[in-house]
Amino acid sequence: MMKVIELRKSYGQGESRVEVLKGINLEISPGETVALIGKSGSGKSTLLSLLAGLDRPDSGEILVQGQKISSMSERELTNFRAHNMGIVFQQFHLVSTLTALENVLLPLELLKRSHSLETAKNLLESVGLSHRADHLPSEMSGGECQRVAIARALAIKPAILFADEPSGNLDEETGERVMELLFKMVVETKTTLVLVTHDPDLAKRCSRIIHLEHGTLL
Amino acid sequence: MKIVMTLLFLISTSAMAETILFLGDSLTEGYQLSKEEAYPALIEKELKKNNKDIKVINGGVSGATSASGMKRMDWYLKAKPDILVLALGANDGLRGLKVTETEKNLSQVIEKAQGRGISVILAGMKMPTNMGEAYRNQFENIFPKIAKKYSIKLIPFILEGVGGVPKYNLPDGIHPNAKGHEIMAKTILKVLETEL
Amino acid sequence: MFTDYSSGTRDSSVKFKFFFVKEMKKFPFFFLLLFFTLLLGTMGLVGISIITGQVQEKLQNNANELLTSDIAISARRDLFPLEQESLFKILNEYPHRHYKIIDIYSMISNLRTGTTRLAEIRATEKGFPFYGKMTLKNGEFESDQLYISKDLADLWQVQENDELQIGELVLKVSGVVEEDSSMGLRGFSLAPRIYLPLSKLLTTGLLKPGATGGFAYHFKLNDLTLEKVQRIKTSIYKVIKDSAVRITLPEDSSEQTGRVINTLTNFMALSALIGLILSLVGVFYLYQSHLLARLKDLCLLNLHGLTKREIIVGIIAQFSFIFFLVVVVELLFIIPLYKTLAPVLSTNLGIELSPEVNVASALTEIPFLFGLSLFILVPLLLGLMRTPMGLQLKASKLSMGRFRFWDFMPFIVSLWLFSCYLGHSFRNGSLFFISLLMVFLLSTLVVRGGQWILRKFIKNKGLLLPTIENGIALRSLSRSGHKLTLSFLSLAMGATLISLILQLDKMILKEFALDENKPSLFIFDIQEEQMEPLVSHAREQGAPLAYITPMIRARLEKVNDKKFVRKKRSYDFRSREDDEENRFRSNTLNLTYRDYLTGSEKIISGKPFPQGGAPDDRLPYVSLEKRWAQRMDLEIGDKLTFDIQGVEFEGQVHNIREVKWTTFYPNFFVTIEPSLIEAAPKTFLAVLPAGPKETKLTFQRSTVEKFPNISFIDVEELIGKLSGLFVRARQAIEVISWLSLAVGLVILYGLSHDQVYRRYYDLALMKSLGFSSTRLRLNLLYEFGVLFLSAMTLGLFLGWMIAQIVGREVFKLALSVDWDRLLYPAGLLTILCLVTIMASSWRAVRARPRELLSDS
Repeated sequence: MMKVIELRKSYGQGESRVEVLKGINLEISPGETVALIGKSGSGKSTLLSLLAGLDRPDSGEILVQGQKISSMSERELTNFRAHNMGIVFQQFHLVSTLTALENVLLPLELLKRSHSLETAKNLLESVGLSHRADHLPSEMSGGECQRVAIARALAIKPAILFADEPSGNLDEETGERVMELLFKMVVETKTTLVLVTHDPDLAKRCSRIIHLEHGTLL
Repeated sequence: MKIVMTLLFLISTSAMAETILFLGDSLTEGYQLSKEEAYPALIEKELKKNNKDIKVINGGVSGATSASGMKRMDWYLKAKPDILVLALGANDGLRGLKVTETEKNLSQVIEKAQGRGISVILAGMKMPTNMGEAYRNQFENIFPKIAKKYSIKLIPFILEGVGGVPKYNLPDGIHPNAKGHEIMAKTILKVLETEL
Repeated sequence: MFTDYSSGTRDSSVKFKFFFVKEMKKFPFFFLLLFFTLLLGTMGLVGISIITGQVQEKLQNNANELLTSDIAISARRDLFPLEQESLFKILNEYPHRHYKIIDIYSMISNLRTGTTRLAEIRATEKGFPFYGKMTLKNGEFESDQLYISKDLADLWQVQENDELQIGELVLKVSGVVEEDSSMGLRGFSLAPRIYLPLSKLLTTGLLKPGATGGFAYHFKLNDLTLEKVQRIKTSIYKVIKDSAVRITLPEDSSEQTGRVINTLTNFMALSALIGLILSLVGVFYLYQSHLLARLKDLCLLNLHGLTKREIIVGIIAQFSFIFFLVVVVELLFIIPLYKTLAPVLSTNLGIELSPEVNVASALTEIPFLFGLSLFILVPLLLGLMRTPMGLQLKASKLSMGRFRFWDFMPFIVSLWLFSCYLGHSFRNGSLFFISLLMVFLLSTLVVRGGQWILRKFIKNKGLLLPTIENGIALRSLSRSGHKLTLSFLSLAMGATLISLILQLDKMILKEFALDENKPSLFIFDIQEEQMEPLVSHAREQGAPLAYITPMIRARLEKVNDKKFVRKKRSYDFRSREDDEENRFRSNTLNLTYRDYLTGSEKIISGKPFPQGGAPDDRLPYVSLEKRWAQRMDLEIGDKLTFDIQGVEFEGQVHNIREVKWTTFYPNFFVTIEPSLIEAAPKTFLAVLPAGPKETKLTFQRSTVEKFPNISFIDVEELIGKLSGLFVRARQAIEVISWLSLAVGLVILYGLSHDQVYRRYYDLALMKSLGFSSTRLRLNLLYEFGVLFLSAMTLGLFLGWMIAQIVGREVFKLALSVDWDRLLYPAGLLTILCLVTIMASSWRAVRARPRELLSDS
């Protein structure tokens, strides 16, 4: 599913240059749920952004389903991401001017999938938010927003789902429920999951744990 | 068409009534007053009271000088007036026009009227003192001179008792107000009645 | 940065460093933009207040010069001894100086040439004039000499040292008066002047009982206050009750110019106010986004002990400093600019403006401007007060306390008061304020209505409308709240102003455009038989006449066979109050006959006269001037019966005309179709178009010789001054509109920048989902494009509508649509909008999805 070869990434210029990733090598099989764990500053978000195609490595290769995303052009990358990847952010980013249903609908319509409205409605139901279909993000609680985000991420049936500290901004109880939902849906749809977290208990629920410290895997 | 009708009416009435034409300027027109308040209408009212069958035409035009007399006479001849009260000249004086011109213009009008058998009464005018002795005298003398020449009746001064008296004039001090016109009517009537 | 606070956060130097030094260094762009927005917004008002201050001062002096004194008591007769006694009894309570002026007409002879002519004599006493100046060709004006005005000297060919006989007095001409400041803009008189000492006039023998003329007693108070003068006026009215005696104060004799200029400056001030309001909206937005960006730091400061009050004071201090800079720059820039422009303005306003700027007058408005500007920040500052600062730092996203509607009240109230102040009346100011309010409310309604319609449209439809970009844009528009309304509003108001100004400018152009063929001489009292000879005479003199028109005196006796009685009307801004009363009873008028329209006429209702005059089988047609017809309560179809010097004449109203009186050609309220009316006694009018002065003088002299009864009015100077005035007014208006446009653009940029900035995360998200930069730009373009275009359309329409209302009420114009004045700003604004959207969205579209992640 995904292969990472000698991935390096640095930030800053000259004196303030920081090498965040120092040669990462990784392989993920389809259907795996991988937890990427490390302290803050370890580079886990950077790694996630590279894997999800949100940023480019300085050197090294990333292959997803055989395709070299690290050498794709901006446009190709965007396209690839749109078709194959889903992302759930810590700050449950939803498009603020669209309703819950519309947020889920967005990636579907973008890819011009058929029966998008139906699909979206079903998805929303599966996260238990049909009653919030016409509500704007500002009208929903944090947990509800995150659930919508999950529905959106899974709408296109992505090959791989990335989750960046999804429960980080939620209280314990809500966070627990959201994570339950996430794992349930991932398992149901047999989607590969890469989960970034600092919480060891959460990491244990994944099939594999990868430790990242100071830019290298342990 | 309408004018012909009106004129016919005028002619028909004048067959029975006596028509008096007042040919003048703002003093005759009744500057800033209604037609009924100007002296010709007042004269008509007074004469009618005494059961006289009278028709009065107010031919006053503010600002008119004696030069306009001839052409206007042509207009009024259609109404076949019996008597003409000629009250022009004041504006000539106020403009400082040459006295000989005024004399000439007034004479022409009188000759035309007399040529049609219309009796003429001449209204005498005087200029205010600020115009200067020389000019005042020249101006004042026009009227008796012409009256004598054409053997017509003369109203010595139509603004007698009115001119220069604030309470009988409008705030501009030159034009008589309604009360002033009443006095003018009396002054003119004195001479007019002798003609009727 | 926070290590500073270990030494104590209440230290003022720390505060100073934070608010002034660090802030300004870190956010130069914000402060620069703020500076320029305020500069543009206030520049118009400051500039206008300087000019207005100068003009008012000059007008006041001018008014004094026109009257020559502080108060004048006059009549067409000398005051009775009793009246004089009462008058001086009142005036002697106030230390003063006085003189008497007598104006009379008289026949004067020039002993050298032996000619006599009528002239106006102005007899004055020592001290004349208290205000103003008599400028002689050579030498100084002395109160005991005889002088002649330049016009009379030219016309009569009188020279210095000629002897003139006035009444019984013979005097030598001591000099020629080139300019008499008491003549003002009047510019014409029927008989030019001779100036004589009063004592000498009394020896001419001209002032015997029965003399007519103007007798005036002029006073100059040693210690002049308006209140004193009013008191004196009231006391005199109590004692002297004769309405023939009038009391004149300088403002009464202040002439058309004063009124026109005042109206113009008020209008300009109010337009500049709109420019200011727009800029303040921009300031509001700028501060809002700025404070949001700084919120985190402010919360931290608060946490470390800086109270909210101190923070707010700091922000106010910051703002005041910028405002102070703006004022300094404005004065440094505007004052030299004014100095260079003063001579140009003077010639065209007809008023001598001093190039010295009264800085005090410029500064009087600054406190108001400052207050108004500060008040716009009140909602934001109150919002800050309501922000739970320290506590917020736990939350992932910081937000400021919300502001409420009532927070805007200080701004709204001071705006209303300021409008009244600038408009110089509660009525004008409130009207202006209410129209602003109406624009505001209408725009809000339009936005809400539009959103409601959009929502209905979107319901149950997918995102593709037809494209996703479109779909998202429309949804966004249909859901946004106050912020959307405000952006829409400011744009609409900017467009309204521009449209309003352009429309009004066009109206003023149409209404007051002066013909190329300006008349220089009006000629009237031409007798019928003199017309032809005069025309040839004029041609021979090289002064061909234009516009030869017959004039017939008539009375309106009946309307539809009922006696005509004129109803009392409210004050018509063109007529003078004192004549109004007498006009009610008098129904005399001057009319003419013709079957064509002159260049200054246009039929606005009904049909034109047919060619060939009136046939026998119907009443002759009559054409009435629009406003006169309104005043007289007449309409198309009415049968009018005129008394034409004793003969009845009937006609029927066939059309209503609009007349451009400001071409200064003689026009008539009533014109009749050629018909039997032509036989009525008439005089003729003619106009001599502008040409060489010598030709004009020779023509006048020779015509008086040949046709002594013909009269002239010389209007050349008057018209020249008035036309200059209007040209300048329009130029000023144009400058203001461009200024406002500039302000509008700044706002536009700020707004779209701000709006787009708020979408940063949305845009980043959409990018992460697969939107390309191009598609994001399209999305923004749709959204802001629809917003801006609809705001612009609304604004242009509202501006047009307001202009129509103003045109109707003030200038009494008919409804008109000037498409070019709507389309060219529309086109311009559209292009500018698009460019601005693109420019400001360019940056935002560079949003990096990377920043969506938790560690950003």
